[in-house]
Amino acid sequence: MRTDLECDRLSVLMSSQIFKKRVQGAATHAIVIGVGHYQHLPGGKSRKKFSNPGGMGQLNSPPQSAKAIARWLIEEYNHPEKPLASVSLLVSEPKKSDFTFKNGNRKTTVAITPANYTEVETAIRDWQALGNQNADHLLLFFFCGHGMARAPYLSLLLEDFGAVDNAPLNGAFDFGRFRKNMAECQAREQCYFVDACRVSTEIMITNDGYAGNPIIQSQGTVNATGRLAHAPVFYSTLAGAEAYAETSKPSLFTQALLEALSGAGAGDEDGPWRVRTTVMHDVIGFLLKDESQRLQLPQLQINPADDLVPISLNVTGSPKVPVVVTCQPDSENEKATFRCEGPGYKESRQPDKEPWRLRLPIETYSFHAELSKNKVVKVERVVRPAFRRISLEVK
Amino acid sequence: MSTLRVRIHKYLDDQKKPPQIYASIRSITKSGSSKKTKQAMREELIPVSHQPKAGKKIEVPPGHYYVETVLPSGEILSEDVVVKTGQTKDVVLKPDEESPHEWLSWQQISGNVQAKVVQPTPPPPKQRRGGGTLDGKSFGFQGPKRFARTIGGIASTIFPPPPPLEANVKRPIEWLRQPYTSLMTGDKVWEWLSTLTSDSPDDLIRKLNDGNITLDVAPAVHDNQHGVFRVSLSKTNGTGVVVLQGHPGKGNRTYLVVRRRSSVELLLLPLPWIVLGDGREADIEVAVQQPADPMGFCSSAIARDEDLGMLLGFLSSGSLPTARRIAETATGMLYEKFRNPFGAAAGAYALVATASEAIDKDWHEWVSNLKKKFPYIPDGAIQWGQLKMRMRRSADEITEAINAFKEGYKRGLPFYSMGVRWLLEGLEWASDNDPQAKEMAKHVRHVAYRINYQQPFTTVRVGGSDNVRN
Repeated sequence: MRTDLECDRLSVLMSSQIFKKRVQGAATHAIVIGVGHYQHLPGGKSRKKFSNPGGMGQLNSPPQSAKAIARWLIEEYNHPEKPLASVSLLVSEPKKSDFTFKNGNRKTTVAITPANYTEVETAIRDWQALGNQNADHLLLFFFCGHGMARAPYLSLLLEDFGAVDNAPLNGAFDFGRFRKNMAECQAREQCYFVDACRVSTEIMITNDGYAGNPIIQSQGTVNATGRLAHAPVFYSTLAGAEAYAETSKPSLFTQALLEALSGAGAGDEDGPWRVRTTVMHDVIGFLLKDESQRLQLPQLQINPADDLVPISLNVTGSPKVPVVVTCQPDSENEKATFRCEGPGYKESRQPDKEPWRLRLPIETYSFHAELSKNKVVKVERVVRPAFRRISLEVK
Repeated sequence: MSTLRVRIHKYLDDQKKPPQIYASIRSITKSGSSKKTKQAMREELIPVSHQPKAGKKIEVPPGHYYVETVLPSGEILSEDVVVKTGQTKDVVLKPDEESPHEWLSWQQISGNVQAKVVQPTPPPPKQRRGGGTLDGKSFGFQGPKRFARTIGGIASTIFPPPPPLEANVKRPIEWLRQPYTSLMTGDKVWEWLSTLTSDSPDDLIRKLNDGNITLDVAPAVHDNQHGVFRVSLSKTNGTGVVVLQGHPGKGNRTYLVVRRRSSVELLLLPLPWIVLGDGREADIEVAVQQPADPMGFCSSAIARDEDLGMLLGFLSSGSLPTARRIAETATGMLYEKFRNPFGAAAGAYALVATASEAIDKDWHEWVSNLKKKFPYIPDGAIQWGQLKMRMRRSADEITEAINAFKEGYKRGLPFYSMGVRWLLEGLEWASDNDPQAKEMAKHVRHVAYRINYQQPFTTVRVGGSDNVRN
């Protein structure tokens, strides 16, 4: 157990920590990393360019994804038993920017620490040290940026990737070994979210099992907590595959993750609406698949999870539920005017080939498909997480 | 009381009895929230069947209910119903995603076949903007859709010309009747497999089968995109099942090979797969289809088992808590009688992965027995290593974990892809202070690169390119 003096020293050291709150007992500690600017890849600011970029360049989605996650954590995350105690944010973007968030009633603006190897290493070690203070702590990890994989290995690339031509992975870290070694951290609940492509590259092939420094090394520590570490990892895409984003928006995975965290991944069987990892996995899967179809991606983006176990996350007041309304057969959608009505809610949509995608609060609604003045199909349905499909059968 | 008659409406080919999947049944208020009463939610195994009479009758107090389930393919199904006193109401959960063919229904519910293939429509060349790579800031199309770009990968041309076909789905797949010794026993398999670097399927198969003649397994049924092949060790009632006569030899290992354009996929199949309920042998079904891109896998294998088939689906989709629940409902047959040791190994993966307390439990004995009684199934030793590594209560337990991983390595290729990942992780974890573990990890790594982790049973890409989507 750390002394108060050590804790104070830790807080002084943490330059990347943008949010800190004193919490008695169990708490949540998060680290959020978004890398959009790669100094040594084409388009990067450094004059020294990596000689073998393999087609990789600059990204504009990861900074937005990381900031969206950090902002949501600070402004929305509500874990009654493990309140948010700290958020570290590391973002690399071409122009250094500040980060503004609401902290209660006041706005706070902070400088952002760049996501280069040195800063990320320090931030991760500090985050692990916080986890070592209490076995009941919950640790959250989010990364968005370039990833290279040769399954089961995954290298996450930081701002200074490729600074040294003959040691490019000095600017990257080995996610698999890092997570494995984090099992020795005292915190028994850890959740990992990796929003990156996992494509195979020549660097991963030639380095044969070396995917960068793991940052955290195994000490062979004996587990005295009486509990096993639960550390599910949610990937945005399969190993060997790409992840997608719309221009100037957080990535598809991040948007789906935020929607799941905001309530689509919640259940109320134990009282309030509470987000759980298992429901999150299901709903993120649906949302990514639906977006893959809506955006006509070259391939379905499939979100695998490793070591998925149920972990309770935040409590949410009024979840918004993804709803898809469609005629059966769906060829009738282009003839149907859809209408949805519920307490204090009324919305409609003109005929279109696509199904009608809605986000609705939990309630009972009536759904109508009007194909002509005399032909209206109507059903009444309850809408609750994780997802509801409304099929209006046209005979 | 009232009655709900619940089922998942889905046709499954050659169904002896309906497989079952857990569904949650919640008593809800008019506004959709769960009622705050005791037993507001219960979980029930409900049948997957197209026959209305198969619906499971569940007695409930009158009220409003919300029934929800998730299929192994990841599809979420839900329905709500109001039932009055003494009334019986049908609750039919209908998947939106239908199998392209009835004969692909087992593969589709397991998540191996896309119900609807996404077919992006390339805009005419004049409408294109940007270079189609990650690099261009103007990346995107002026088309009817806002197009998404990759967020962290390699430049790639969007809508490239269609790649050459990777597999001939109508061509028979092949049973290795007398595989090379290293494939059947012991630890040589790890090193040996990674030496097979040819681009010629003929050459690879010749080496894998030690120059012997393979047995063709003709498709039970096929169309232009998919071929389905069924095998067993004894005669079953399945359609188009090829009986692999003659024991495969030492090691109880059955290997099938699927030819690709310049490599092969080697499938290690758990035969015989015994159905717990009636003791008959289930068919193992291999589907072959064109991968979405040349790096993807062509083949997928499932057991057409009404009792444990769904467990395998949840295991490969990563829904481990659901897989655990199914395993727990069959503990007597699985772990006391060990009627199907391969099925027991599948359940043990879910049990070990979702364990939460570092204290000895009754079910630990099952994993230990799997390791001791079935040495030809390396998965038991790997699972024991994983369990001990996760518990890590003492230096002795750490040593026991390392020894179990080494034992797993010596027993050869695990039957489950999850076993390869756990074995590599375990050996690497032990590598810092153990040169032998380090050497073993090096050999496992080269096979692990080529495993299809989206499938429950071990499938290895042998030969051809090092780029594998897995």
